[in-house]
Amino acid sequence: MGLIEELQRFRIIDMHVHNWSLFADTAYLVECLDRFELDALVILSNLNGGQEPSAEQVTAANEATLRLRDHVGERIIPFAYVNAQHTDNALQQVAWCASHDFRGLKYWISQRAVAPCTTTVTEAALEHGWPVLYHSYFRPHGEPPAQESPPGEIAELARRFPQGQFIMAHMGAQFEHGLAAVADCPNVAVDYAGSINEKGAYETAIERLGPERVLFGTDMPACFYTNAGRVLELDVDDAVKQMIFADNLLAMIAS
Amino acid sequence: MPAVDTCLFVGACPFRDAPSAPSDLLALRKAAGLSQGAATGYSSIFYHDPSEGLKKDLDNFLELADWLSFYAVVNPDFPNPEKHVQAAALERRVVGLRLIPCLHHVNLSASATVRTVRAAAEAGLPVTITARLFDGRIAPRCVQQAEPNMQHLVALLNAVPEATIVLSMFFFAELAAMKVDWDELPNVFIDLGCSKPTVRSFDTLPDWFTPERVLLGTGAPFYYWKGSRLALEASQLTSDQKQAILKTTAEEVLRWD
Repeated sequence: MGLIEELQRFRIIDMHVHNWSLFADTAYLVECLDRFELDALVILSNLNGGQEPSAEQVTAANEATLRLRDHVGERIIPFAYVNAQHTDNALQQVAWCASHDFRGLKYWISQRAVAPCTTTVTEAALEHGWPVLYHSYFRPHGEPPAQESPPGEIAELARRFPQGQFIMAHMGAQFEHGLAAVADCPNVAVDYAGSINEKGAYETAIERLGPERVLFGTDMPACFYTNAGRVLELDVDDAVKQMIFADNLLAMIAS
Repeated sequence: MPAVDTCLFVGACPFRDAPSAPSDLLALRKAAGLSQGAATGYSSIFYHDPSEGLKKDLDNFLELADWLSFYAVVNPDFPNPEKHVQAAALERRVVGLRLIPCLHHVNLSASATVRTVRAAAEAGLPVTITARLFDGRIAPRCVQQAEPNMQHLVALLNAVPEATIVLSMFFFAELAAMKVDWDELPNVFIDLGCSKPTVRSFDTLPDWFTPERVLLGTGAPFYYWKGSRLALEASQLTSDQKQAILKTTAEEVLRWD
């Protein structure tokens, strides 16, 4: 069996996609959705406004996500995007997105996970039963963006809301560091979306967190296949791969 | 589809347990359908004298000699680099040289580097230039990895037209942005197994580079290999182009015994 046929045996939902860069072109995004035979993908915003977006830019980003969902249909699973430092706007956006059937909340790098404003907005998101996805990087070199949250802060946020469901994106970039930080937080799942390709990330996540806390995302328009191949390469049963490729996320957003 | 992986990392990985013992590599060979592999050993990379490291790597993987060959890592700033090149050329299990400026912190356009590459050309060895071992965002804190200097790289490529050069572990975006006429550098090949592609990087490759001058080194087992292979196999390149990238070009470029 070829690799493509191997991949086609699975139902796949990509839970980490941005409608920016190449995917600012909706037609191309839809072409990829079909070409990669995805059941659905989660849109985490076009990151309009860069690292510290204004309230207006955040609002525009969520409106763009909604337009995409309305254009494409149910194969687009929209997550709300906020800058919690604009707390009033963030709370308004959570309410507006909930009224339009968004399914989760995405934080990027405009607020620290331990900031009081983040606590306030997170509380509002969790009231809708949403999972909260948080970008997180541990950077061994150089200065990180001022408001970027390292994995330890994601763990701290998750401990404040033990009833909430959190997703730490990118496994914190350096996966041993990131996974060690959240291993004892049962309400934190992880994705390994993006272009960092070091082997051992998924294996370590399954070992330390359990397969039910591991999700599949790509950070498209980063390469879909490079990301999907990592899961295919795992030495685990197909049932576990299927959990990672889609089932864990479906259980999360259904609840 | 049988393949040649031109970028394997083998031996005792200093950073984590990576499955790179001979038995692991045999399993990898079977899973990936490798007819040949070209490896760089961690001893070659990290020993002060890379030639001593190469001896250790060759000894440790002797049992795989029927399919696994090696790069001789040469540090142009180490004394007598030309002698290291000549010694490497005498070793039948060495298929080429590998320069690692990201870790050795050598200037690619410096005279010692140019002399080293010229010596390789005289010895009939292709030279692979490694942009990075790690994604720069997550290199271990104890490793000060230099980002590639593209101006120095272009100067080197222009200075040694007689040498066969493979650019390895450069990112698609870096390569596509290089201000060179690739047609004027027919001696230059690129290895796109660890090159941070986007959804359309392989599809648009023919817009700026000849696919028949591309190799695929996945970085396994330090890196996942299936994703790179999938990205190539599922791309819109022709079957002939894919076959060239997966196998034929590597067989022609590297100096197999």
